[in-house]
Amino acid sequence: MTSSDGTIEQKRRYHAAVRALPLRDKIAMLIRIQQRESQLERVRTRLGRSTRVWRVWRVIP
Amino acid sequence: MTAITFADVLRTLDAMRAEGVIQQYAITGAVALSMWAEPVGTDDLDVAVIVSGEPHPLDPLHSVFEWLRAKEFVFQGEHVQIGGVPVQFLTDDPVLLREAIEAAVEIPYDETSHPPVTMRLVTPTYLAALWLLPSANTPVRRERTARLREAGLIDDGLFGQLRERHRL
Repeated sequence: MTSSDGTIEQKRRYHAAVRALPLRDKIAMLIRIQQRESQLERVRTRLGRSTRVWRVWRVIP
Repeated sequence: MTAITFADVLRTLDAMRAEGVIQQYAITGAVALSMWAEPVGTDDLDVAVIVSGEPHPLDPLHSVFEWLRAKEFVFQGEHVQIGGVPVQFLTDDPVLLREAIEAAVEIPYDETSHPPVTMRLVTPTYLAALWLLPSANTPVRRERTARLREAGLIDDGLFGQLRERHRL
């Protein structure tokens, strides 16, 4: 096995583990992603690069 | 003040069904993809519904929005804020979407709460078929379909049937 095979195998295991998470944990991840996107979007808007504003889900999973 | 939880959003959808406003609902779009495969960024929760009774000819979601207004939910453009989540309601048109709602699966979301909360999701094969509709067939959707396929979640037999039956 080469090192690139190892990386692919690690990724495969990671993706399989994420898919197997309970729905509540996935919603928690989704909210974190969405909040991060929202922060990035605010920076882009400040720099005049985008006018899109992401809506932040103000909930807990 | 009690914290708003995502489970409250699901309870609201259950209440709409229990009170006969809708016959059925299913979560579709990026949130459904996030639940089947891996979470992806999205700004809203897409909920497709089959409205009870004869829908308003010009405004098929009229009864849904009336119910939400009566419960004092806040409307913001094309979204309704349920809990802290912007929700976009979709009708069961085209036929493929109605079929997807009917074929959706109900999965436990939080079994520790009383009563337990479930989440009704459009299945991966129907999501991939819906993303082939001309209005939805974008590079982002094709990438999402690739994620589902890579995860081995698409039933190729059913996918072929849907493509043929709905001319996709």
